[in-house]
Amino acid sequence: MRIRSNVAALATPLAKLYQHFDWLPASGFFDATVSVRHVPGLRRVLRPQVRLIVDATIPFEPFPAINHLPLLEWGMNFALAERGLHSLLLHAGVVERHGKAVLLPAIPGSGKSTLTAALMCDGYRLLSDEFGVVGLADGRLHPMVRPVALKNESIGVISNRYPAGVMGPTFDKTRKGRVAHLAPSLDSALRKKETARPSLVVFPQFRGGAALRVEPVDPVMAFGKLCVNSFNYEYLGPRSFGAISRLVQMCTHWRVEFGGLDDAIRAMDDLLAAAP
Amino acid sequence: MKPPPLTRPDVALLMGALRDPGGVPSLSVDGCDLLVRTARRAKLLATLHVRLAARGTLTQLPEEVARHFEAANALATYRQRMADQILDSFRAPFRDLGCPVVLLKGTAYIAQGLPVAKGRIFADVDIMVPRAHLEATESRLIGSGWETTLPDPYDQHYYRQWSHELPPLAHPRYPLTLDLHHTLLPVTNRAVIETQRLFADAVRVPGSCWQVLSPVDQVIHACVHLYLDSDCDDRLRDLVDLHELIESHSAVPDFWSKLVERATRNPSLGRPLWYALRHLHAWLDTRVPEDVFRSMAWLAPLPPIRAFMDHAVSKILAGPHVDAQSASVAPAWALALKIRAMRLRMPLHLLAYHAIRKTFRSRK
Repeated sequence: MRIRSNVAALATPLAKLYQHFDWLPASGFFDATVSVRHVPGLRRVLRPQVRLIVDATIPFEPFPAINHLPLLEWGMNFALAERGLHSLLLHAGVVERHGKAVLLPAIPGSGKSTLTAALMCDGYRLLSDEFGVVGLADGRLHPMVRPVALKNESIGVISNRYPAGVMGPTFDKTRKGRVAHLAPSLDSALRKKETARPSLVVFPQFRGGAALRVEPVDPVMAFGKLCVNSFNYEYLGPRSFGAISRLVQMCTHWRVEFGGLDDAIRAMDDLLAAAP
Repeated sequence: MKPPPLTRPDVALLMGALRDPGGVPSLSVDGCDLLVRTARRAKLLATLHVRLAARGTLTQLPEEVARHFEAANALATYRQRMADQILDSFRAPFRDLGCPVVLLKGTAYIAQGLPVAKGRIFADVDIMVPRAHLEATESRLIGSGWETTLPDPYDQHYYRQWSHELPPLAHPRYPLTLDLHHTLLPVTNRAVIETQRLFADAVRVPGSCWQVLSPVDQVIHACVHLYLDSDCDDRLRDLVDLHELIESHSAVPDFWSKLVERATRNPSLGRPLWYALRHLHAWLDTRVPEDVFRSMAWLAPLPPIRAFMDHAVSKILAGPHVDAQSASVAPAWALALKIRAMRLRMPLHLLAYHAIRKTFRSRK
């Protein structure tokens, strides 16, 4: 990924969140080149804005200048999703331990990012907070290691629970509410090219104050849910059908309803230990 | 005098790769990066994939590069599948329509199985029916779930009164829009097209219920689109398409003589054809027989106009450089070409009326 910007305020948080990543020379082959720039003219002084430019196209409306980092992160997600038609892309968090990967497909408000962040801070390796990248040729989960985007209450929950976690600045007024980013752990960043075998699919459901409930999900149901969860299922035609079938056969499938992270993490540990 | 060569490094790189895909694996990593970005921006990445795959050079590229070509190909394949499904879905509503349905542009290229269709990224499906059957066709489409994308009454009025097509239709099940035409040029355009002859000369696609324009009219249509439209996006892609189209159709023995005859019969269409052949020959090495240029020499514009068009088209052809910090390309040239297209499209008093209506409506 090549990032260009004339927004000076972006440099510090970017360096902090990507501290465990290598800096590459600006020349070379990159999956995407994204640019975050001040909107020129009057907008430099009057309610300043920043905009995202990807190969001389401007995919989004500009953001208020203070939201430079959320714009950049969403822009990178957009570019990677748009170009990611060489793999099946699921909207899911992915973590791994002992060579077994857990897929956490998301529905908004399910607590996917919070749980992904907590598992990473508890020693799991992060593959992605946003994209479950399934290789069409090998059926394995490919990492796309980037900071975890936490929203609203989960920012406080994670920073209180894991004070050692490296957290970027909080952006109070974005389109998705309050947003802060958690840097990937050192282990996750170092192993950013290491694929993992899918073993477990967990559909998380956070419900405040609820007792832990772990229920198996029928594989056929899981298949349907994963198809709907994919960003590019219909684009790949029969290849995505094949990829999801294979994924479903390699994993066990559960629905985990949780009211607190202690419960959820314990459930994940147990499920993963029993998974193939 | 020849048109100026396309010297911008990114454009030269892309043209070189299209001409000689065998050279792509020996590009530097920086060259590869610029090529993939430029080709994607120009909507030619999947076309390049087709050419690389045909030469067997795709496997010589590093995986991290090759997968960008494959992703572009997956997108193109998906859009084509959608276009196919849309055409299939017309069978029931168009049964007993009582008029020919002519497929246009990309839709016609797939139906004919032409090489130009390979790697083409479809944005819409284009069909044409005689004007007398336009409303009936539209109502059958609406009955099967298509809806207009421009419900504003003035837009509707504008298209129905002056355009060659209805406002684009969209369907919740499909990602492509549908353009329903009754001719190829706005009815107010200075160039006139003999619509009845288009239908008379149209040919049935073997084994289907669809028709396509005659090969000569397909080429004329592509030229008209390239040189009389006000939209300056994707011109390079359109020129590459036209090159491929001519390569396919010129295999038919009397293609060139019929094309010249067509231009002679209707000089208002001959001019865009003249520009197209000139630019294709200069920039894409399209094989055009010498005598075709000779017999069309009388269609050439005055030298200053020719110089302006050569220059303006060369400037806007490839769009902005991928490292440009704004999305617009050579704005002055693009504007000049837009003004030219608008002037040709309708008489000045109509243009003024339309501009005033649009201005006041947007302030509502």
